[in-house]
Amino acid sequence: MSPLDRRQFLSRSALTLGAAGAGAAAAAAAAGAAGTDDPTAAAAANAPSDGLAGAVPFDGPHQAGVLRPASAHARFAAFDATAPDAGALASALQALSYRARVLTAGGATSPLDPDAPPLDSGVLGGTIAPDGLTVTIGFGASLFDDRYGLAKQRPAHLTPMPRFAVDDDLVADQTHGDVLVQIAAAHRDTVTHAMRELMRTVRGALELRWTVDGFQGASRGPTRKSSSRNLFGFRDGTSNPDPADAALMDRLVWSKAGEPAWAAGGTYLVVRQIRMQVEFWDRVGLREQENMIGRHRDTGAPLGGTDEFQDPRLDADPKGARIPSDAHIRLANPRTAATDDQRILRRAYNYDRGFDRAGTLDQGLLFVAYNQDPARQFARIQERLNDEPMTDYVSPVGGGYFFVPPGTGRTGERSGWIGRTLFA
Amino acid sequence: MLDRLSRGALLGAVLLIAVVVGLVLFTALGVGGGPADHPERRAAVPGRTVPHPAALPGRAGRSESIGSRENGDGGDPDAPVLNEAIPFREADFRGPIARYRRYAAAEVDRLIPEAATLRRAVASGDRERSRTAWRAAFERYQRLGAVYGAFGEVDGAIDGLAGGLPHGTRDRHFTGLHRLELGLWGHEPVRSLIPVATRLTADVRRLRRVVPRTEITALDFATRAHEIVEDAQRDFLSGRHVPWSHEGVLATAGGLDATQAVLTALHPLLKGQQSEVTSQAGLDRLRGTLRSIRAAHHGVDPTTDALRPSERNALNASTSWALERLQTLPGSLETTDPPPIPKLPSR
Ligand code: HEM
Repeated sequence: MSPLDRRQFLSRSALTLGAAGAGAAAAAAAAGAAGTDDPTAAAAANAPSDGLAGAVPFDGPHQAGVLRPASAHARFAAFDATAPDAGALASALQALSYRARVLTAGGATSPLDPDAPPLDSGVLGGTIAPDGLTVTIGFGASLFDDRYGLAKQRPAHLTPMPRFAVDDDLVADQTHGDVLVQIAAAHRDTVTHAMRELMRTVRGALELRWTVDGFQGASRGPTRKSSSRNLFGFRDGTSNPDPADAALMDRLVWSKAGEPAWAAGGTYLVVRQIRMQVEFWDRVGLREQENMIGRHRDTGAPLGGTDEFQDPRLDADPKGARIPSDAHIRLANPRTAATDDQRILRRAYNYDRGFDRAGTLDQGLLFVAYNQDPARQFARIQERLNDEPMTDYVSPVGGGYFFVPPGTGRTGERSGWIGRTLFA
Repeated sequence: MLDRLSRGALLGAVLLIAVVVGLVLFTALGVGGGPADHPERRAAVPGRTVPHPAALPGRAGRSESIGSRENGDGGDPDAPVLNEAIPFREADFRGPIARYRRYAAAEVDRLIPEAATLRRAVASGDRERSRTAWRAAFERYQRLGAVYGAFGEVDGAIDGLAGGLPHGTRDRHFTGLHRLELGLWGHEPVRSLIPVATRLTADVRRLRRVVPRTEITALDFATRAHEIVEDAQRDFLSGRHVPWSHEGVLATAGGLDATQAVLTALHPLLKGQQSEVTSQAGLDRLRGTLRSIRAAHHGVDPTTDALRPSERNALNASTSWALERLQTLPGSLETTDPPPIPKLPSR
């Protein structure tokens, strides 16, 4: 299915002209409907893969869903491997990739045999819009034990996520896992559908351990570049290494020499479900909130500044007179030569999943970061953050470290699957 | 009684003078209690700095009428007179802090024999007896209101959780009340806990020496009033920090007592102003709820699991209601106005 251009995307009349194929027409119809209640749809449509019609290729040298900006919706699902042997595990992973490839491409579902259960649940209709869907697959340290004979293949920097601070409230059944699947798309139903269809491919081989759903705030300006907000009300994602800078990504994100051969071109994913005590936060003065983060809540600018993307100039404020020395952004990224190679690519989501027994909202940040070596990067940052003032308002409850293997190879590849090089 | 508008204007003037005086005093005395590099921005309590003026019920007159700020709180023009002494001087807090310290020391004096009773119960091997003794000691400890590591390392030894320890609950540094909780409510042989109980008695005696020397700054103290109950809601009513005993109701009752002690000690500064009155009403309602729950459970605080749905609702409601009221206290007690944020240099 060919991507639609913006005019088709927004205009129902395009359908009556018959200019688009049946699949594209269905996508355009749905996108049009979405567009009417979303004033920023026009802007979103300019980004090729942010609407229903946009497809992100599953195949490539690296997996999809790493460098891309976070989608509007995501699901992270961690599994325990239950396959009886390595062969069964490999088959399930192969089927997982094949199905993911089809789903991300979109198109008509297979014709129905009225006597058989349908091959697709039909939740997205007979013609699936790709919707910018990405499926990213990762492996936890526990997969590399003796069950499947993979111990010798363990990626060089893959460990279970350590405990960091006394405030860590990691819940065992929300933490770690053998396999992680990150599903991201522009609409929630696309994610829900993909999860359900992908589950069909791994039955018997993978059992769910935990899942968490994340979402991004809508793009609310003032400019198209402006970051959306996390649930503390602050813009999140402002300062990130530039994913378009290939050399930088090679230095900070993609696995480097020293990995087993199969792991070249992969990356390490850190997921943390971080509960945020939002009621408590809302009872704190604005100035204090801003001092904890180091940025203005409204604009997202570094304290003392006016523009979100201004350099915070920590160098000009060594004593912390403007941005306190224990502010989140200062501790997270001191912006010194010594900490330069500790930077990470953050792709965080918000989560909102009911309430706890005390009657307070179970909301938080689904912290997601990609990096080349979690011990050198993520863990160093986390250690600096252990005593930051914000810790009183947040508590990590789950997550894990996962190695995200390289992609299947060239775009257009049809037989590759994630993990093939591991089982080869 | 002045009408609202002119009261607002008067307040504005008083404020302006107070701010200037406060700033002068601040520079002269180093009020604020933070690290030397930027004392005005940092609180001695991690995570706290001077509250934002908008949080002040009486001071919002600058931009809004007092009545509108107090919307729903009975924004009564005849409400108790606003305190004109703010911002306070650090020295104003000396009396209240001393009073609180005496309270805390007296509580530790009671905790010492309670810890000894717990040790004897554990040594007897009687699980029920040990649990009862544990409950007494645990509630007592919560009555101290030791939020945010005010007692430092000894707090961790007595009340620390296993969260960040490399080996979790099996870590040899996991000790104190929660280690005993795990043992007594888990399936560990009671007598195997003797070393932990013995160590607790020593740590509690160490605490007795620490309490009079604990550094409590004005800011520390002003913020504590609502943060003890914040902690109770976050850690106890949610069940997170009482994972084995589920004694979250008991612990909340302890936190309430601590908060009351802080609020009572602050009376000479608050002098019946709105934030004190409403905070006290919040605490009273919470106390009433806890009392009726206890009465319904034959005079013993039930575990959070044993709460009936209506009791759970009442307790959650009273707690969050109290918190919404207590949040005005730090603002009413502020010592300095936040200075303007320096401008970011352009390249
Ligand atoms: C609930 C928890 C968290 C919240 C609410 C939060 C919030 C924020 C906010 C508002 C910013 C400033 C805007 C931006 O540059 O994106 C930021 C920046 C950042 N955060 Fe977090 N964060 C949280 C957890 C973490 C964790 C766990 C880490 C890593 C260990 C982390 C690492 C960073 C980094 C590296 C930056 C960019 C700093 C810079 O380059 O200036 N954050 N965070």
